[in-house]
Formats: sequence, C-alpha cells, structure tokens
Amino acid sequence: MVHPAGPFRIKNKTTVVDKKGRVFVSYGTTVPGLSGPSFDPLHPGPYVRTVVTGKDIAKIKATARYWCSNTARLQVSQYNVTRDGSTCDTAFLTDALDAEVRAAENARLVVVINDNTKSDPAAASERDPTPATFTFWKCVIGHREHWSGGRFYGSDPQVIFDIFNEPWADYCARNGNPSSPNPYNMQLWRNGGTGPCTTASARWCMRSITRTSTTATCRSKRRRGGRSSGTW
Amino acid sequence: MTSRRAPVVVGEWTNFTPNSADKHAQAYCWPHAPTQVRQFLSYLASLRVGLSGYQLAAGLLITAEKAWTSPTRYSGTWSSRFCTSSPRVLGAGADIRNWFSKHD
Repeated sequence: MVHPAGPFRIKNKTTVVDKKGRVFVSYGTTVPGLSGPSFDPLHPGPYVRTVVTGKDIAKIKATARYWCSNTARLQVSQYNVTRDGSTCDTAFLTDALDAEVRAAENARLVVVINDNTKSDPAAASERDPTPATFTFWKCVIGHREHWSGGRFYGSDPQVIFDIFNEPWADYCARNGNPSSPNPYNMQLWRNGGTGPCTTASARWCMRSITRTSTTATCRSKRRRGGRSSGTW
Repeated sequence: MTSRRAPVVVGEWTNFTPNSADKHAQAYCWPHAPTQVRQFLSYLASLRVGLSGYQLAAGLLITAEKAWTSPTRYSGTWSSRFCTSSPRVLGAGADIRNWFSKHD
C-alpha cells in the first residue's frame, strides 16, 4: 500500500505526483458528517459525540483500513465554519474539523476539505460561491491545527482544498431557459453573476443573488499565502 | 477528459438501488448497473482518474451501518426495474472496493 505524501504537484499536465515523485491518483470515500449544519459553538459536545466520534472517525479509519484508499474527502458545512459569513467559528474548526483531519492523517490518508452548502440554512442562496465562501476558505486556511506541529491548514501538505460542492446555480439557469441551446454552459460558475430564473419551479432564484466568480475564490486563497497541496 | 489539459478526479460518485420511490435517489441507479459500473471504472482507470465513493453508509457502499467489510454488490439476476423497486439492497460498493484494491 502506497501512502502518498504531499505536497503534490502537476507533472505533464494530467498527472499528479507526490513529493517523492510517485504518481498520485486519489482513491477514497466521501465522509459527509460535518456537512450537517447543526454544530452549536456554545455546546459542541453533542455534535462532536454524535457526528465526529460517533460516525465520521470510524468511517475515516475504515476508508484506510478496509477500503484500500489513500484519500478521505470531508464535506464541511459552510455555515458551521462561518455562521454570519464574515467571522470564523473557531470552536467548530478545533473541536470538529481538527479531530477528523487528524484522524485521517494518522491513518496516512490525504485529506480533502470540501465547502458544502447543500444542507445549510441559506442553501437556496448559496448554490454557487458567495462572499461567505471566501470567508469559509479564509477561516480554514488560516486555522492552526491543534496537535503537535501546529501548522496552518494552508501549509499542511496532506490537505487538499475542494472549492465548492456541486455548484448548481447554472442548473437554475437551465430551468429558467428550457429552450436554451447551451443550458450547461456554467456561466455563473465561471464568471459569477445573478440568478436568472423566473419560472415557477425555480422561484428561489428570483431573489437575484449576487454570486462571486470561482476564479476570484481561487485568487483569494492564493493571496492569503496558502501553500497546501492545491485545490480541486 | 480526453483533451488532457488538467488532472481529473471524480469528486463524489455512487450507484445503488434505492429503497424508496424517491426520484432523486433513483437517479443514482443505472439501468444496466452490473455492467455499466465496471465499464465506467475501467474507463476511469484507463485515464488514471481517481474517485471518491459516496459513502460508507447502509445501502450505499456497505450493506449495513458499520459493516465496513460488507460492501453492497450488483450480483444475482438483474433487472433495470430494480432502480425503482428492488427486492434487496444492491450497489456498487464491491466494484469500487475491488477497483481501489487493484490500484493501491
């Protein structure tokens, strides 16, 4: 069993290699517990017991031990990391995310952290990256791991950033324009913009949500000086 | 993927027979799953594309909660009708696990 060691880099356009020059193809499972947005920073115990130690860490260990994997992908609620979209919930990062990242690294897995809004209270207005997504990544990259070494996630070579789970504002665009010749052109994902939908089945989009381009999200992270293995 | 401009990974993927009439869940069941799943995984391997399986939970990659070594399988007689009404829990867990084991 090969245990990939970051940092990773792209070689020959389509091949990723680890720090020893070995080809890295990511095989693993998605662990979705932290996408549940019910973390209470004043009472973290129940969430940690139920979700982190009760479910996710066992899945992470099984991914490494029984599923011949090299990667654990952690889906993380954007709301848990930044409730108001502008500040970081350090209790969540320390009590919940740290525990799972540490468990994965102890199992010699590569860790993928994914920004997920699907179950968040504001899911309807967070179908693509927004300014709160910038805050999410600012919080994650700038968080110092609470175990020996004390690295920032942004400089942990075993951590990969998965920018945004299943962006679907452009799916809304398709609903609004069913005869569109190119309904999946992903313009909102590529360039940002406002929700265009006007059909009864897509009223949520009539709120004219301003979205931030994904390219800008990437640039924001780089400005913060993140030096982890990279982004998906 | 064939333009070969960047590395690719299938960030989240699953395949199983749903245990309800939920249309959303039914979308994760391919009508010829026993053959299509293996063809899909072989295709990814030919391009050296990785995959994150969703997830180690009952009825998805494993047959029961915490039954880590009991993956779901597409075995026995198959009918595409199972994608809307299956007599038992079927899924791509074993195919994915075997595929991982070949490449670790």
